[in-house]
Amino acid sequence: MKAKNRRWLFFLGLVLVTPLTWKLREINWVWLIIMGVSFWGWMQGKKWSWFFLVLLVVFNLVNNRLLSIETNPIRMSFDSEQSFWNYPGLRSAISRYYLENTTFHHRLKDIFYTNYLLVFPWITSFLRFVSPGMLIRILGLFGITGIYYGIKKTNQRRLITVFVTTVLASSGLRVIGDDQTAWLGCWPAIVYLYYEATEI
Amino acid sequence: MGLLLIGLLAGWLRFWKIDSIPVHLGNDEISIAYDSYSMRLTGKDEYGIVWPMSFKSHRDYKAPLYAYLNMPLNYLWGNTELGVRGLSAIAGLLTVIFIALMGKAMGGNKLGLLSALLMAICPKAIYVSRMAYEANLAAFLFLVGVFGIWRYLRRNNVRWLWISGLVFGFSIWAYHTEKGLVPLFIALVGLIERKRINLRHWLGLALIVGIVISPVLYDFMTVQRVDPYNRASSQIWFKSGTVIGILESHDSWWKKAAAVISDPVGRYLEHFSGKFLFGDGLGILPRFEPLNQGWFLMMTLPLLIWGLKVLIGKDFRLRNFLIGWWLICPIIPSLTSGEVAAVRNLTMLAPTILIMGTGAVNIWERSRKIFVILAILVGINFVYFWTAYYVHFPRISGDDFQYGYKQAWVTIKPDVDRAEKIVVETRFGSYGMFVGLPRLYFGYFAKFDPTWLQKREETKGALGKYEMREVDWFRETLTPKTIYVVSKINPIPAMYLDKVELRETIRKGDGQEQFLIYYSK
Repeated sequence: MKAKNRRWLFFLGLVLVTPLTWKLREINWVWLIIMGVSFWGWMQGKKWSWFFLVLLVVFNLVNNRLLSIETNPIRMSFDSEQSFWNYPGLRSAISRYYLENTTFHHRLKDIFYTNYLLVFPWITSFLRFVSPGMLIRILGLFGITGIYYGIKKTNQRRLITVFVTTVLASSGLRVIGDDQTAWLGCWPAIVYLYYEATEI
Repeated sequence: MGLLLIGLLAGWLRFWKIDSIPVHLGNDEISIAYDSYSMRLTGKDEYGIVWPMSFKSHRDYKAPLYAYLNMPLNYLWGNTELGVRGLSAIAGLLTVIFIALMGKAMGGNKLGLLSALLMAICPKAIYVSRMAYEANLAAFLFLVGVFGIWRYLRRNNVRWLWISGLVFGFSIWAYHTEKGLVPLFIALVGLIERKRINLRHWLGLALIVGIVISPVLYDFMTVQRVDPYNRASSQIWFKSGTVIGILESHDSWWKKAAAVISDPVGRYLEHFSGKFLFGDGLGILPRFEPLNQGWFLMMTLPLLIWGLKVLIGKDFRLRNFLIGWWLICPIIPSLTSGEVAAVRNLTMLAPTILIMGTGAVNIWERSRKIFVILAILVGINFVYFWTAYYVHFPRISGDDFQYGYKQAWVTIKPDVDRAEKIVVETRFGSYGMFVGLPRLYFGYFAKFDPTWLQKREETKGALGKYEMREVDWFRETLTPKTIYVVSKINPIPAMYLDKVELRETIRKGDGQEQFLIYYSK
């Protein structure tokens, strides 16, 4: 078998054994195109590439059921109660902290117990997405091997890191969500790394 | 001087308000406390077993060292919270000092001091040092053992190896995880350093460990024979309900094999999850709460990542030793069922902190500016942890620590001599759904004659004038001079209020009622 054919065989094999790939069956083809285009646009590394990252964030929020867009009439709505920003339990916890802490002066409490505390559960949510156990569930053992070699071979590490981080950080805004859906936006980056990894 | 200041900080964080934070002695703590008290007075545990090699406790057959070492402290500090938590706090403080020595031996003064500081302010280390955890004592002894081995490897002085063997052996006396971890660690270092170590020395180390642990090993085998369904052995992963359920629901052998293998592998990987280590793994506040904490401060995550990066390109011996140590620690805890347990993997704290320390030293050497920024962020993060642990955690954790039994005892104490009968309910909690251990709480704080509990099967559960049971008011014969401590879900019906009066209500930190104390007229 020719080296080129062998590479494609490896590449397709890797894509097919990745659990995340099978999640694509459940989503709209429009979202698939937007993902691909956003990745392509971002990887150009030009000034206008930022537009594609913003586009990705918007549609990733839609995919994670945080943002809904209607076309007729044009209307956008954000489900803030499902996001860290407005999740009732988190807000009430901060209010409770304020009342419970009788050690601090109220001026200090005004600085201490404010909404920026919400960043902690958001980071925790992000850390959950990148934990080793989650990576294995999303990518599988072969997938992780592919990603490892892909990262080693590619010279676009920074762009890919920013892309993946953006997807996961925006998915992480949802308090309780589906882990595979959260990762879905990263699929083009994963395929790209597989492609790089299988270069012979 | 630096180490002295760090030691003072660590001591303050471990001993300050140790009697009230956590709010009450927990399930395992009270068991150790009572056994230690009972042993000191009679040489027998709660069940009347003479100088046991494992304490039956809640059928989990606790490793014996903590209860034995605690006996003089129980004599010194009495039947108080400090009288049982003090030993763990001392072990936690000594861990800070030994991590400094270990860091110094591995990478110099800076590594020693920074590692000690990181250990002193580590949330998980503080949490376990303020509770009577045998695992904390075992983790400290394990660290001393590792220190001895590192010294032997660097100085080739065999005396360090013998000390290591002795201390490793006693770490097995202190907790179950070490039974598997110590042999694994000795084998791992033997493998990594096979070209440098003397095989006879290594076999000598194994022999010393073997001799020291032989009584507990013999006891362990006896327990498996006498009580095969004990809690300790039922915690093995393939005996868990989930795995058994999967095994029964699948026909093909490969699906069964996958289920059996994936369960511990998943748990092993969970030990390295950022969410668990830096997000909410400590579990002191309810899930998703903003101030929830991980095992380590969130702002120390960059130190761990950078430390690993530095180590990978560093001295071959140090890298293999430290990363190998870090990677094998979760193996034994992963073989147990349930979620990643709070205390089974405490040995992982030390190598993680040393890796972070390596990262911190490297950042210090490369850029003071970044180091200072990181230090400020870690400091702010620590203040958040401080409020979460010392302010908010005691308020919401009453049920987790069976809060109220000690407070009930303190309330009725002045009237105990005049009372003819004292009835304490075993159920507690918001809906009365938990079963508590009032016999041990009252036994410990009221200083029961230990023979009462030892002979309770002969006396059909009677403990002097105390009765520990559920109260059904409609079947209760209300006699004069009786004190009732009942769950808040069991208030006395209005028709009996002429015979009994409500004397006191015990409330948890969040203000909710826990126990009602009635006096019969």
